[in-house]
Amino acid sequence: MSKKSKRPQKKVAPPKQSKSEKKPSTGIPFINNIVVVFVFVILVVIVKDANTGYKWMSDTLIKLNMKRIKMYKNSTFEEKQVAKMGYNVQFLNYVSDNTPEDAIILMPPDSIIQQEGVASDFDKHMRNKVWVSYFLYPRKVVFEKEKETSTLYDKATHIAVINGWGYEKLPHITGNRSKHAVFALNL
Amino acid sequence: MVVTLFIFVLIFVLGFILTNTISTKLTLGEKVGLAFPFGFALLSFVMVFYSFITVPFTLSLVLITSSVLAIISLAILWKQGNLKRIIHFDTYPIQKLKSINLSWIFLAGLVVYIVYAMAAKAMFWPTAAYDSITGYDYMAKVVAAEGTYNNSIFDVENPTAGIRHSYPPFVNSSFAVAYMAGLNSTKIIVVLLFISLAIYFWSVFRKYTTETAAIFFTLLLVAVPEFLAMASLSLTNVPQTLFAAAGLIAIFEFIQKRDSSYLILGAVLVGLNVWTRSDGVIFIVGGGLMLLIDGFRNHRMKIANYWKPLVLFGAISATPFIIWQAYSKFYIKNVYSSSDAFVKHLFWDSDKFTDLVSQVYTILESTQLYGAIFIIFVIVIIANIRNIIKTKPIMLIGILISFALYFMLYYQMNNGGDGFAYSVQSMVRSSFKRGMFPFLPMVCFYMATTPMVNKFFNWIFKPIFK
Repeated sequence: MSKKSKRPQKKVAPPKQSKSEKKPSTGIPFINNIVVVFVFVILVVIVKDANTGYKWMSDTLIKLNMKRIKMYKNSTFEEKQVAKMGYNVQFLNYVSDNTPEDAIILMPPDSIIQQEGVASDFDKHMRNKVWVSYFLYPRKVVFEKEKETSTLYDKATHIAVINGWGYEKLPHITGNRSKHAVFALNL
Repeated sequence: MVVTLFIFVLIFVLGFILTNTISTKLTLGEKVGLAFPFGFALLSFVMVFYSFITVPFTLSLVLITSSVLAIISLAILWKQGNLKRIIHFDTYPIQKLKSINLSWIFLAGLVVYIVYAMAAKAMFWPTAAYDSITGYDYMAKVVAAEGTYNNSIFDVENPTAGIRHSYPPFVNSSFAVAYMAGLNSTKIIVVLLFISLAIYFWSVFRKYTTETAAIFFTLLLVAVPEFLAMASLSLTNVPQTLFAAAGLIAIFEFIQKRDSSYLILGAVLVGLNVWTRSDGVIFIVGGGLMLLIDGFRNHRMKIANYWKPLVLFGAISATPFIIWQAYSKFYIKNVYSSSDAFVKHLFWDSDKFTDLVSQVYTILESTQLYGAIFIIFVIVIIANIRNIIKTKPIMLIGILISFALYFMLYYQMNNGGDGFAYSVQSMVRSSFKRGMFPFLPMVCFYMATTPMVNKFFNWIFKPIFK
């Protein structure tokens, strides 16, 4: 054993926690701050323009949306729905407004909603039962294609006339026949 | 309007009380960040309970029941002597704000602007996302009108149920609250949850790093292009991101501090992540493995010391998953089953593996989707490589394990099978890329807590105020 180890140990106070450990360092020249923030601004501008993701986020997701929000600021909820989802929603809101809540609405075949080679007022979502049901709830929806499979088909109370389809099921309708409409089946 | 405001204030208060019941030791920012998510979660459990006992619920019934539960929580806190801690906060985080500098102000301004832009977009436009219209929002509308989860969507005579209607109830029920409160859109929920997410992760980051680094990583998180774009839509991924990432971070905090309140918090959060999306089960396994690895690594620990946390974590976090699976299987007739989506046995298909790796690599390296976050992550890993080899940081291990499990989940999918027609490519480009969101806050948290990043931010930024 060395002599050193035999010496009585002096009591050593535990090292004080330095201020820098307790909290972040403080007190730096103001100019330093200005330089760093300037570098940061430049960095953000460069990254925003150089990266397609951030550029899209800034130009389309944020700025373009803000512009569109201003453009539609006086629009009603329904108008905004139509702006986002097109004529589908306008028609479904019309059906909703003109049928009772317990109505069962018969929808046309897919080939009528979007006729081949003909520009349609509707998009593919109009052929989707769940999508259509969302807008017509609590009304029930049954499609012509479900004729053989759904027990609801025979219970339909209303018919959604689309692209003139459906008038053949409505002998009582005479006069002007709109391209798109909704009628009660049993008057 | 006043009634609606009161309802949302009440939900916040209920969530705030619940947060305190789980852990009184959180900072004010963390408690505020978790208040709405926990408030909505409480309401969703009450809704499922009433559906289970077949009592159609109204918003009043749900709020009264939740308030009773909150009062019981307060009584527990009072009994524990923790009631004062609800309004007593550690003042250090507030004092720490004095060390902000011009860069912090600039970065914080960007964060606020981005969150504002997201909120403005979400609040202005009605729900239009296909997944939401044919899924969560539709379910919410029907739940709100009929007061039960076993509702007309699953009507045998007129089934309109799809895969998204059998998703766990957190998002559906939160949206249902908006409808029951008389709103014509559910977007307020999306906005509140996104703001909560930003506040929560900022508050967690700043516990472990400098103010400037914390706000920098908060900016890096909220400015992920795909994340921000999806945040304004009514989808399930953003709430899951909050729960899953916050859960694993809380597990990390438990391992660091050996404070059981963080373990319980982590377990509850990971449990709520599967209360939002069933695929979040990977984070239960991920969190469990973090605890297990920590237990094995720490040789001085007695077995009971790490089995007990593991069992507690597993029991709490898996309970919501079990409740929902049991309820939907036994009580909802005509529910859509997603079991056909997975191959039910382990297999090896090198072509599929290679294809999946290639597809996943393509989206992860895409700065169009995730901005610079993964590039910075790689740089930070390289910069800290010596430290990583030496200390094997548990947070990084948790991230990698969870990612490996997430990858395996997609590998097990029965692509092109009878009940699941989607290809590997389409799944990765749609579902997988959104499923990466929970990793974003975890990655930011890991980066913010590394020695080199802290060194860097201490070196480059200097505070203004003394």
